[in-house]
Amino acid sequence: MDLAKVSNGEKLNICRKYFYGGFGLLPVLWLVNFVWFFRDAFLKETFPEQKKLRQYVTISGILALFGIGIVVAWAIVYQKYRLDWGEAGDRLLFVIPVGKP
Amino acid sequence: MLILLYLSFLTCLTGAIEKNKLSEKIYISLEGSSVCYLRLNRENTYGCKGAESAVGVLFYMDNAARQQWFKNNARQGPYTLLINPTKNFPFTKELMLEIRQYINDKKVNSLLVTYFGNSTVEQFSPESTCPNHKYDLYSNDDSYKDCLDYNWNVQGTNWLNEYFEIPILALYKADQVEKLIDICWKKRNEPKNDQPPQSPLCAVEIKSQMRGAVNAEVCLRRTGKTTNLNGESKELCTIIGARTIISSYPGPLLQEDKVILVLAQYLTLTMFETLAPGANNPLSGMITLLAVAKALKTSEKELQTHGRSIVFMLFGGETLDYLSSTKLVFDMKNKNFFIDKKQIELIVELSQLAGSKDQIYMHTNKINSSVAISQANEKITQKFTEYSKNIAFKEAKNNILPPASLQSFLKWFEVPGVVLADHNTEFINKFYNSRYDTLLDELRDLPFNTSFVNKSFPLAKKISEIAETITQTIYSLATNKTKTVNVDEIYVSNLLFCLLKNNSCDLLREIIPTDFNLTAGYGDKPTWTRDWHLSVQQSLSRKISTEQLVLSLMANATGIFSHNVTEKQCNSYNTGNKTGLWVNGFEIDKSVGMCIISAIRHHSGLSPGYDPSSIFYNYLSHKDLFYLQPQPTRFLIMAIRSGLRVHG
Repeated sequence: MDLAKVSNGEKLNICRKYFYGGFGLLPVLWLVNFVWFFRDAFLKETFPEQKKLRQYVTISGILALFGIGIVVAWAIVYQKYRLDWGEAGDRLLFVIPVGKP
Repeated sequence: MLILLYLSFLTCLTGAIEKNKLSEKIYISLEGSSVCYLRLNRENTYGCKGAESAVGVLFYMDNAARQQWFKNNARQGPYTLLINPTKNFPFTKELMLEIRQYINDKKVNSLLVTYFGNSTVEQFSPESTCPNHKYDLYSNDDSYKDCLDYNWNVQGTNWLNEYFEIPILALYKADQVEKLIDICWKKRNEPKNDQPPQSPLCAVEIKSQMRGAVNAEVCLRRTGKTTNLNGESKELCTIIGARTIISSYPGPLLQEDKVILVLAQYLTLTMFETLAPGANNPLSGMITLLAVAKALKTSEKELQTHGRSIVFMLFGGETLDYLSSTKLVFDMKNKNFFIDKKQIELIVELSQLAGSKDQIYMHTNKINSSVAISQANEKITQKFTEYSKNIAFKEAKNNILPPASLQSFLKWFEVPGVVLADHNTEFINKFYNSRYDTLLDELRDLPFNTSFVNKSFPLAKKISEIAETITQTIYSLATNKTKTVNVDEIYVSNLLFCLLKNNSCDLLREIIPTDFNLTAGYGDKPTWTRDWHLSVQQSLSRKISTEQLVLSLMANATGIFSHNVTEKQCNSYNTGNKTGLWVNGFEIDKSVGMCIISAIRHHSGLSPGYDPSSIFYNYLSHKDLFYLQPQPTRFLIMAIRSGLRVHG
């Protein structure tokens, strides 16, 4: 989709959908939302829907950071303590490590 | 400029095409290597982890000057160290400590050791100085645990019980090692005038990764695991163990029959899985046991009238914390064995017997022994002395027992028992549990391609005499009578030759099942043909199983060939405690086959169950079955390495 050809109202509509979509445990959706609409929300000349758009984009950015932070933290914790958790740790494996702990 | 580069690239390409493959131009692959495996138990990892791909600059070490140069000047690592131990450059404890340090410092990332038979080394043992001490009879006795006063195995370096993060391989083909040295070392890597060699250097790549990791529990758990991405569960670890092979005269047929146990071992454990000749330890004991068993064959009736049985047992898994005997004792305790502890009157164990010239030492346990047992032991040792001839049977000086399966029995109950060995307070065998324990010097007069040995030789004579004394003593202890028994010296000669030098001989061919393959996979080894290495317990029907071979040997020693039995009748034969074993036999028409009828049986040597709550989980040892990339290991030649890591 070419954002330049989309009306401001439609932009706000898409941005809102992405924003709410992110709550379905999809922090990457928030990240996409933030990156995609950042220019319209902060750098473009003002337009009526911009205030609302700016809100969605800002919160999306924060939530994306937060969500990805949780994923990264989990990855670190899991890799670090996987062995100590014993069988539970192994159950979460998708690829069985060969020749490695 | 660009065109020029492109042209040179094209030239390279055509050169490569002439050699078929670029890799063939860059690499040469070496054959004839044996890998150090990984072993896991509940807490620990032993042996070599290996690497998916370890690349190191080749350094060839075969004298003290090179050792010194490597220590002071070698900074182009990580290195692959190729050690060639000789009489002038032996594998000393100091050298091994130095290498261990290089490995810890990551200066060396793979280790190659040459191995061309016995003549190059005077003493070497990777076992600890006090083998199996963690699980022996004295492990709870403060004054005797850890062999404080005893060093049975003085030259032991304990590498067998250590963990190495790198691959360690033995190269046993002289021409391959020469090729490596010529192409890689002499042309590229050898320091000239004490100066480090110039790039490009030649490196060796070794691929030998072990699948298992962490410890036994984790490895077993992961072995059974299936995931969406794996598809099916991968076999990461398989449990180590070996069957105990048992036979007897005549029973015990009745519950009140008394039993004399005669024990020996048949497997060893060395650094390299396929280089385990195990000649003095443990095969000399096993061969003596077979000779004794054969000599007692005619006495079955007398034994029966005296209500005595003689039970022969060959253990496989003893080098790992007395695995097999512990399992047997465990089953005996739980009444899962055909002999009860009350029936056991005496235990005689045959340990290493080939080392000494003219004496055998009798070891008995003198620690916390009751008066009755001490007296019984004394009576037994006197009997042995009484029946000894040219080879003197002397009492050993030590109070504790050397490493022996008898300890597992004594841990549970008191019983008279004696361990016969060629050594007094320390091993005579300088190669305990190592690839050099071959006794080939003693067999050098026998040509490799002999199929039948028709004359005796000194070692056979010695073993026969020892066996004769043991046979007469056991007979006398069982029946209170004296009888002249003759040990078949030719049989002993053939056993020694067949088991220590060449498997494809008449004796073995006659007694193996018809589909058994004596030589499969063993053809390119230095001089012997079978590995007496404790590993995974395999199916007896496997055509190359060592356990099956030992079972056949035991059947032959304690049974009789029956002529008028068909294969079907033989396989279903089951009278009293006797069963049939269908083998090649000695008929001229090889296709016929014959039946050996004997009292053989086998007992699982696996640790009692996978149950982590069981105390016996301690004895659970595992090892890897598979490599990701098995042999032949690839050796990378003429890899041009810029930007070498410099060790300061």
